[in-house]
Amino acid sequence: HLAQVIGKMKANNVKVILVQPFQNRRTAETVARQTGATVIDAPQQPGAARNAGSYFDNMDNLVRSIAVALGAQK
Amino acid sequence: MTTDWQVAWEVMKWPFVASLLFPPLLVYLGLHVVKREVIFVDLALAQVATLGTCVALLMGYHFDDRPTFWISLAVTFLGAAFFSWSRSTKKTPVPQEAIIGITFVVAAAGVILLLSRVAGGKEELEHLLTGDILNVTKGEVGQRLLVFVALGAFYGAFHRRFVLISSDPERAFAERVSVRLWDFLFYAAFALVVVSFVRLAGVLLTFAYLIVPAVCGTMLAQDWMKRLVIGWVVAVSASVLGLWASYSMDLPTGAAIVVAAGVLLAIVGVFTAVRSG
Repeated sequence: HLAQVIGKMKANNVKVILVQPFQNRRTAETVARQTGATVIDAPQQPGAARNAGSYFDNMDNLVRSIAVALGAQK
Repeated sequence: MTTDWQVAWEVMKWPFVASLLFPPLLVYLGLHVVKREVIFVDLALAQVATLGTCVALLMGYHFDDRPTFWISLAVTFLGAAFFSWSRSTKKTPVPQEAIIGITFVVAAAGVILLLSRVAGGKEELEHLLTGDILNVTKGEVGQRLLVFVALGAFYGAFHRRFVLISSDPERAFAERVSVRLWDFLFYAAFALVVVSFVRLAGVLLTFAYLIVPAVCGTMLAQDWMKRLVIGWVVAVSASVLGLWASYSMDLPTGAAIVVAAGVLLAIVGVFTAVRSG
């Protein structure tokens, strides 16, 4: 499965991997090393990340993280 | 264009290298454990190491933080001291294996209790049990290798002393060898090996690497060196089979290696039964 994910990410030039904070980040980091992607935390609930106590803060945090990751890939 | 095999090799190469480099010391320790007839001491120590990790998680540290390692090691040293203190050459109503089994169960229950207070505790529990051998990196292999080489040199330097204490503690006492001190040194170094490896491989795979190849070696040979070589061959074979099964059937890697080791043990068991029958 990991090999297939890596293959698809390379074929489609996918450069960002989203993980829930409680998931195993190391698997995402293994895939990121093979594909040159960036791993970012994508919590579903407010409060899971610092400075993201409300729903709006959580969404702002997520959008900002994705934008920074995609911008860094350019 | 990269082929599937190239991608698989890129993902699997460091787990494969780890499975070549780490088993020799693990098999050596397993031979001692089998000789001492305290099979579950490594499982108990691995679980105590996990308990130490959970203490660190509850204190707010993350799994990969440096203090987590030291807290886990400190707790495991306490376990090592307890096991060396509880060993007696005199016949006692309560065998040491019972003490070890109880320690394992209490440590395992302690892990569940502590992780019930940690966000994402259920996922962490599975992670600690099954490990993460598939995601091991070059840096982690290098760090563990330094620890394993240093400890391998320590055990090698005092090999005769440790063999005497493992196989004939009464004679060691009679020769005025400080058995409790050397037992503690044995278990303390063992604790460092277990803590280093269980963070990569988890409790189940650590136990499998320690015991299964050593049992196979013990069943097939009398000499320590031959048992060590046979054990290493079994460990590497189980790793290769497990990695192949994990890739081709999309299975959890650590569990696949443990089952492969069990299958090899069954084959060795049948072979020895036929040979002696």
